[in-house]
Amino acid sequence: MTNRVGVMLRDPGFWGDNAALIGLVVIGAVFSVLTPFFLTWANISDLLVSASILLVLATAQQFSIVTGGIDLSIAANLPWAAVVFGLAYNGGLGMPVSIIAAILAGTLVGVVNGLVIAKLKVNDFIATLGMLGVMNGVALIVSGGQSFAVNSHFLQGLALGSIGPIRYFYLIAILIAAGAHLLFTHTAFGTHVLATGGNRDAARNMGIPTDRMKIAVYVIDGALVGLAAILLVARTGGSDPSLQTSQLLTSIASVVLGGSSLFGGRAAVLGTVAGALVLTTLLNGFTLLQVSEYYQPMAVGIVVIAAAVLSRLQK
Amino acid sequence: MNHRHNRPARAGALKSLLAAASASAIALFAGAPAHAATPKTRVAIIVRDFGNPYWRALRDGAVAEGKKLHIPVSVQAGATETDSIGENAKISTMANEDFTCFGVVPVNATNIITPLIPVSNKHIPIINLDSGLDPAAVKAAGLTITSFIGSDNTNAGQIAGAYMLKMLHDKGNVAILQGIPGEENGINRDNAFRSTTAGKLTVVQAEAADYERSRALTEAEAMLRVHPDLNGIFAANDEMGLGAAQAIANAGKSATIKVVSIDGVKEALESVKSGKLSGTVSQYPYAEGEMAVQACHQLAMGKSIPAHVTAPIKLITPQNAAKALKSFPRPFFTFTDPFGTP
Repeated sequence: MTNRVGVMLRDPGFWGDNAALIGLVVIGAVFSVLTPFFLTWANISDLLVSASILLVLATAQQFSIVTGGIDLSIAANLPWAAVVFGLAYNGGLGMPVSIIAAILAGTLVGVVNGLVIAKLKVNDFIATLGMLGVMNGVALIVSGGQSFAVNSHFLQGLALGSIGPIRYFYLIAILIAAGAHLLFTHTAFGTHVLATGGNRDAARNMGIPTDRMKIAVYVIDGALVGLAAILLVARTGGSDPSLQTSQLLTSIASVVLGGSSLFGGRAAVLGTVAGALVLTTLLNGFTLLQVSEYYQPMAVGIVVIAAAVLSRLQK
Repeated sequence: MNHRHNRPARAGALKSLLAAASASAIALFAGAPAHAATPKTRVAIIVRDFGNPYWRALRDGAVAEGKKLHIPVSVQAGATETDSIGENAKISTMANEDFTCFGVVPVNATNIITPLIPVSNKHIPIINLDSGLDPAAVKAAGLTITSFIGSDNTNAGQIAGAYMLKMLHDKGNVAILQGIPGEENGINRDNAFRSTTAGKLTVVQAEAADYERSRALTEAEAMLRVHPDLNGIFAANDEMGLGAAQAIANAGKSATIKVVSIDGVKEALESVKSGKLSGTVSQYPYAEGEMAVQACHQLAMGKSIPAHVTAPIKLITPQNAAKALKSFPRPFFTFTDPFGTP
C-alpha cells in the first residue's frame, strides 16, 4: 500500500489530473470518520439530490469554459427560465409544453450570448455580465417581482421519487453529464469545440467554423440552464425571480476544481462532476457536523485554490 | 463590520479556526451539549443566512434557550438571503438526522416545502418561523405545519406609517426603499406603510434596494438629487434605513429628512439613540428563536402549542432607544409568551 502511495506521490500528473476525485475521496473518508450520519444511503442519496442542480449548471458552464469563455448570465438565466416555466404551467399550458418553454427560455439567452460574443466580438465575460443584468430585469418584470408557487404532483414526484433506490433528480443530472462527456470525447463536434477553445486561429485555419462553434456552446449551455430551472422549480416548489449568484459561483468553482482550464481547450466533464460533488459534500458534511456557516465558504475557497494549485501539475 | 456584538460564536469561532486542521477538534464541535433534560429532543433551526444580523439574532436566541432547557439545538443557514437552493439542501441533509423538531424560516413562500415532506411524513413537528409559507402550496404538498411563530409585518408597517405621519404632521413627500422583489415580509411592510399614509403623504418614488445597505445608500443619494423636497424615507429593513440615513447625513440634511425602518438590529437602535435614524419598529428575532425552542420543548413533553403565535414588536424612538439597547437582544417590555417561560 505504502509503495503504491509512493508511486502516486512521485507522479505529479496523477494529482493534477484527478485533484477533484482525490479530494472527494479524502473529504468523504474524513466525514465518514467524524459523523455516523455521513456514510448512510439516505445521506449519500440526499447529497446527490442536493448536487443535481449544480451538476447540470456546472455541465452548462463547462461548455462555455471549454471555449475559453465563461457564462455569468447563469445566475439570471436560471431564475428567468424558472419564471417562464412557472408562468407557463400556472397559465394552464400543461407540463410538457411548460418544460419545452423553460428549455427554450434558457436557450434563447444562450443564443443571444453566443451571437453577441461571436458576431459582435464582445468578450465572453462582458457579454454574459451584461446578459446577467438584462435577464435579471426581464425575470423581475415578467414575474411582477413576485415569487409564486408552482403546485404539481409531477414536479413533487420528480423531486422526491425514485426508480428503486435511484432518485430521478440525480439520474437526470448524471445522464446529462454523461452525454456531455461523450459529446466531447466521441464526436467530431466535440473535437471542433475543443479545437476552437484550444487555439482559435489554428482551428479556423483548419476550416472549423469557430464562430458557429462559439454560438453552439452557448446554446447548449443555455438549454441546460433551462433544464436546471425545471429541477429548481421542482425542488423549491415555486418560481423565484431572485438572482442565484451562489449557484453561478459554485458552478464555475466546480469546473475549475474538475481540472478544466479557464483558458479553454480542455474539457474534463467527469472532473467537473467530481468538483460539484466535492463542493456539495463539504456543505453536507459541515451541516452534519454543525460547523458554523461562517467556515463553510472559507473551506470551499481553500479547496478551490488547492485544486487550482494541484491542476498546475496536469500532464 | 464594527457592530458584531452579542456573538458567543466568536470565541468558539477563533478556537475552531486554530484547530481547523485537526479532525478531533472538528469532532468536538460536533458534540451536542451534554446532560439533556429530555434526551430524545433535538431541535433543528434553519434560517436564510447569517449575513443579516436579524437571522443571527434568531440563531442566538434559539441557542441560548437550548442551553437553558438543556436541549441540543443546531442552527443552519443558506449562503445568502436569496439562496433558496442552499437552504433547501440544508433541510434535506438534516432530515436524515435524528432531529425531533424543525423550526424553519423560508427564503420565499415555497422553497423549503419539498424537502420538508419527508420530515412531515415521519410526523416530526415543523414550526414555520418569521416568514409564512404559502398555505395553498403547503396543503397541495400534504405538509403538516404545527405552528407559525412570527411578527406581524403588516402591523409593523402600520406603526412605521403612523410614526412617519406624526413626525411630518400628516403631510409631505416620502420615498420608499423596498426589500428583495417578491419577498413576502417586505411586501407586507411596504403595503401597510402605504395604506396607513395614503391620502396624507405622497410617495414620490419607491425603489428596491434588496435589503442591502450600500444599495440603499446609492438609491437614497439619487432620490435626494431628484426630489429636493423630500421629507421622509421609509425603508423596509434597518440595513436599508441605515444606508438612507447615511446618504441624508452625507447631504447634510439629517435635520430635515426623517428615516423610519423596521427590524430593530443593534446598530439601528444605536443610530436612533444618536438621532441619525428617526425610528425603527423593532421586531425580536431573538425572542422568536427562544420561542421556537420553547415550542419544541413543549411538544416533546406531549403538550399542544397554539397554531399561530405573534412575536412582539415595538416602535423605537430617541425616547426609548437607550432602554431598548440596554436589554437588547431581548424586549425591554413584557409580552405574552404562550409557552410560559419568557
